[in-house]
Amino acid sequence: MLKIENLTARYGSIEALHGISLQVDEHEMVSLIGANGAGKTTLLNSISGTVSTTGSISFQGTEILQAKAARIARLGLLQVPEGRHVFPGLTVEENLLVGTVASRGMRLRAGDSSGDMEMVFAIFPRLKERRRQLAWSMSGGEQQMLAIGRALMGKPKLLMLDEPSMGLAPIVIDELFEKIVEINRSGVPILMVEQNARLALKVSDRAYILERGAITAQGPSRQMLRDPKVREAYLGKAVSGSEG
Amino acid sequence: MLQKKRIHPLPAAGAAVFALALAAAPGFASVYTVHVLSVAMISYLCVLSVYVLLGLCGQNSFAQAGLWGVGAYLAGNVLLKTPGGSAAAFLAAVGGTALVAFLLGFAFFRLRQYYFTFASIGLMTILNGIFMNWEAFSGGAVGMKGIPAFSLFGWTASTEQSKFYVIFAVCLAATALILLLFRSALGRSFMAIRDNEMTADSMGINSLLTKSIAFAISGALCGAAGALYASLSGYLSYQSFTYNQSTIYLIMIMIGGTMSPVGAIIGTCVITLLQEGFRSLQDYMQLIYGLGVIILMIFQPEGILGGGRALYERLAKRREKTEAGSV
Repeated sequence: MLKIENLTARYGSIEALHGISLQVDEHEMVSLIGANGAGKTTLLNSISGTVSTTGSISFQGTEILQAKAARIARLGLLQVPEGRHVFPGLTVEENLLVGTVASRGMRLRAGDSSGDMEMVFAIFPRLKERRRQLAWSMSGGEQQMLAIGRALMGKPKLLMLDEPSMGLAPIVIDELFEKIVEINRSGVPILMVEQNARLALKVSDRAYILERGAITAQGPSRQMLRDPKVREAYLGKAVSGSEG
Repeated sequence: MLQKKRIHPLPAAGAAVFALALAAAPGFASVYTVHVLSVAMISYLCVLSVYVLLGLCGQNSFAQAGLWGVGAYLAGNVLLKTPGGSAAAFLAAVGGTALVAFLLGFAFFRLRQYYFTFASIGLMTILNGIFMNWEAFSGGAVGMKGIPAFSLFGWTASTEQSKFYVIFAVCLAATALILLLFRSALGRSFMAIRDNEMTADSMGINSLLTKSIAFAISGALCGAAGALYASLSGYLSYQSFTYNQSTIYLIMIMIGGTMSPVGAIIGTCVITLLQEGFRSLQDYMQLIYGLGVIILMIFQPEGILGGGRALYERLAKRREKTEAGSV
């Protein structure tokens, strides 16, 4: 449903992505791994329309390369940004309601979003407990849940997660990734950028490896987990054989 | 019930008592005081426009007095040059100023944050220049004279008291509409942009359009204030619609608190009281404002309302604690 061909992205005179081709199909969870500065976030931002690009990005058959960020979001291609970026001065509930703009458009009347909200609360019960709390006062893990919940309120046709585990305690990460898998199983395809390569490969169906702005390897995640080159570069040198 | 209630009982009760006291004021106050209150309510509408733009949407504009002027001259032109009457003048001022603000917003909001603020300073200067020089529209340096008082269906607001009530009614209606806006999906989009514009964009909010709408709403408020002012004073001069006046509106909302229309009310009252109570210190007024704002920003950046709220919450917490302790 998402098909990227020969994508380049630039920041001024610097080319950050050199001819990327990538694809995400229905129901799939695809992870994108790579070192700091490889261009992972740039790739997601290119899809979301906040970086200047050339090439082709087609989403459900629509070319979105030149489209504005807000329009891309309205098409159902929603990104949960790195570092969460919840709206700090709004309550949990209000943050979630802002998410409905993507699916329902800008409007004056709030309308009834209780069904969608209950759906999000069913996945993240913690958000229900904190529904009237201002977003800035929540922990990092809760803010990440809120950011994902907010995107779900927009009824995403494809969800892009940028470093969901960043800055979270290991126990929180495990809980969060269970939820991410649950969301994917419910039928939402996910494209995920993740520093924690082991975790990303464990939960995803397929993976791409990005190095210095180009894709250097791709394949089913299980296979990648066993690939000695990948193991050496991204999973630590200790090749114990017990993984995978 | 998913809508949260952020209205606190104490400030709400305070606002109601205040509104009643204000409504009763013409019964006992002098004509001069009533006139001052009318002018203050007109200022309040402009400060409310700053609340929408800055408090809700996070955009800082120094052009509000200019928009106020646009509304005033539009109303003056309709009243003097057409047979439309007060209602038409009011609607023309509100709609016309909102439209002007929307178009300017659409052009200017490509600039983000303080770049927009700088552009608004330029806009203010240009508007003032237009008021001073476009004789056909504003009467130029001479100004616009003989603007008739409000009249509707044969009734004319000829006394200061009746003018007061016209303005009071508009203020009540405007406040109610802005409170509705605060609870609406549109208002939430404003606040999302205030908190994080990039993320708002990537959540599907067209920030350029949304900010322009916020500017248009603030323009409508300024336009209403302008129409009321034209009929209240009967005379318009370009010297009223200045950059300095815009700053005073900003100071009013900063002193009162940017988070609620109640802050706009508090700020307008405080500054009006200062202006009236210390007329003899007129020459030092700018200095007093300046120092007042600096001191307030250091010790209570959320204004008087923010300070009051913090105190209220602290007292409530203490009461809870003592109640828990006594059990």
